[in-house]
Amino acid sequence: MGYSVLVAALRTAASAARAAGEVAGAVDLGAAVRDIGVALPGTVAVHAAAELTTAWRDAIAGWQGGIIAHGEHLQDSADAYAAAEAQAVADLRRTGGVDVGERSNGYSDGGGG
Amino acid sequence: MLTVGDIRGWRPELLDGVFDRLRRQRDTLVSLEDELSGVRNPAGWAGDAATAARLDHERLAEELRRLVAGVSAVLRAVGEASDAARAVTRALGEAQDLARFHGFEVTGTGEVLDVHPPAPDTADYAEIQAERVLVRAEVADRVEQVLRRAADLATDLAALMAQAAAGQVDDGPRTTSLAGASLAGHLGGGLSALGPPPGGTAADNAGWWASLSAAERFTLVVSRPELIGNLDGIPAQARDAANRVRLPEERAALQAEVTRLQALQRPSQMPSFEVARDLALAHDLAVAQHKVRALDAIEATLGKPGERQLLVLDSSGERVKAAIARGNVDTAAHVAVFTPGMTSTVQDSMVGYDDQLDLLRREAQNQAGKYGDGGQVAVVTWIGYEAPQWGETLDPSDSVAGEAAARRGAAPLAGFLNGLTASRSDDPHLTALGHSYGSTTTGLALQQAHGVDDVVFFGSPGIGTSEVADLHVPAGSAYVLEASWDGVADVGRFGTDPNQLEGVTNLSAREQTVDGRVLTEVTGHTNYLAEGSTSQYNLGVIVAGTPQRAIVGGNSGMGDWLRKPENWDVWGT
Repeated sequence: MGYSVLVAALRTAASAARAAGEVAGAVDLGAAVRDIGVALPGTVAVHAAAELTTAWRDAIAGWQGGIIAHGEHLQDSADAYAAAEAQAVADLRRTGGVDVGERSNGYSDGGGG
Repeated sequence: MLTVGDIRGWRPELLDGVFDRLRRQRDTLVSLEDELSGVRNPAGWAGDAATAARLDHERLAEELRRLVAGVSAVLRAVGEASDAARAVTRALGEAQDLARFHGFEVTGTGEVLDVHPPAPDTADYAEIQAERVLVRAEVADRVEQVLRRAADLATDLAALMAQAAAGQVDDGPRTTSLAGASLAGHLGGGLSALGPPPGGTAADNAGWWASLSAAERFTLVVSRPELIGNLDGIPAQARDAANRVRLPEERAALQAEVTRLQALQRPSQMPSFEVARDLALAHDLAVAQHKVRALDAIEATLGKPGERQLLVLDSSGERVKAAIARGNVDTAAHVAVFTPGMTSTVQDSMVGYDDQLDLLRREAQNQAGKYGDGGQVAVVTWIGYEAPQWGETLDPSDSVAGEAAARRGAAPLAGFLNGLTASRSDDPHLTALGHSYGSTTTGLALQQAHGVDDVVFFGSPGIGTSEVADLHVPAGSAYVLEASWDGVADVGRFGTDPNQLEGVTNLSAREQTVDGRVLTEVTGHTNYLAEGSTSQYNLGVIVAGTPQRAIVGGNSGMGDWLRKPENWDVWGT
């Protein structure tokens, strides 16, 4: 497997992260529980429901931000690997060597991430 | 502080909407499993960036699992809270209906106001007011339990929401999937079942039970039957179910005790230098074995054809206590509670009394069908106390010659009788029947209990008072049966001989013909329930709520004759 396989896998993962972020963005847990306070007026559940509404909105927003950032990091890594590979190929062509991707089964950091 | 006014504003149906929305959102979050798997580091990727990405992914996955667990926990709690809130509002509605029916009003702060008192010139004013005092107390008890349950469920739900808000709902010890986290959250998300009010009255218990959802009731019956089986104010069906759950557990515990005590016994051929220890051991073993036989008797009674309800099961103390109904106490129009007297025990008496009570039920059912309201009849054999035994005659605390055992029995009997009325939304015709020493227990109980419409004492050595007015039954609703040659019925040991009391109606136990049917006379102390007898007939018509068909006319025994001063000069005094 060459760099190109790793780059493709990282891009797929980055894409999955973006998709997860989009799904999470559509989730509104806060709105779902808001009516608890309306259903049980005069109880301690009113305050707790309001706190939960805020906490879950923050949690979802935080997670969505986190997964999108994670995807961007994966994308950055993929781009860095791709750039490094392109650079290596160009260098080798200039010097008449072989493609590094054909010599290695493992990947080390080529950049990004 | 939560008020009745607050609960009136509750809208449990909104919780159904919350539940539906939250479930959809939870399902959406769980569906992120695929995306989350796809975000994992590619195989073979190594180095600092890969390590950072892996840790970041693990953190995000754990955060999402925590969130999903929290949502599932709140989801379950909201579902249960919806049922519980409905039960609370329903119970409040019932309490308010009861109040309104009797001219009271429950205010927003929970006070019970008398808004429509009867006019002082109303017929039976004193009796109506006495009943209204009890109803007002019952409404207050019920409102109190509604508030207690309402506060409990809201506190429970709030605590769970706070836990979820803090991300502290456990997502399972080794959970790696969102579905697993969802399950873990669900398992941790149930609301706790509120137990009965400590030391509560029958009305308290009834109010508490009314405030529970069907699921909560079922859970309590199955998982905490010891709380339900003997609780006065709870419907008979629930008590019966709980006690039947307990029966095998009680048997296993008693069998284990028998085995343990048998193992401690010394082989008979060995000389003993610890006589007191051996005697105590033999006594304890006999007690445990008797209790096992009592359970045999209970199961044999429950196994007879026809509907029966096990309403009391108590293996504490020296003897097992039990009460078994023939018929359905929750729905019968006429309910009779029979309390037997000296020497009666569950192991030796329950099966036989149940047979006799079943025959009495048939007689009463026949009377109700032909001459009464046609309502169903249920009868209860109540051996819920340790009646005196021959071997205890010299023990002042248990002797048949003393009132102590009757007083100890009166409290649970009164609670039981109160519970029968408190557990029902309607008002059944309730009759107390007391035989022999059981009539003393019954008489003492009726000085505490309310809601009993009629009482029949038979073969009674006294009813614990010499004033019929001490009994909490309507005027003219106390009856006495005394057969010829019943010496016990003449002793008047516990108050004036009841057949001499003013305000008591004496019923006949002699041979009579009714509607062409010849009813036999009974004599002595133990035959009042004999099938086809005048005494059984009279008991039947009272139980059936057809007292106009009773055959009145007492039997004066030698004791009654001697008690009259005008007869004393027969010996020239």
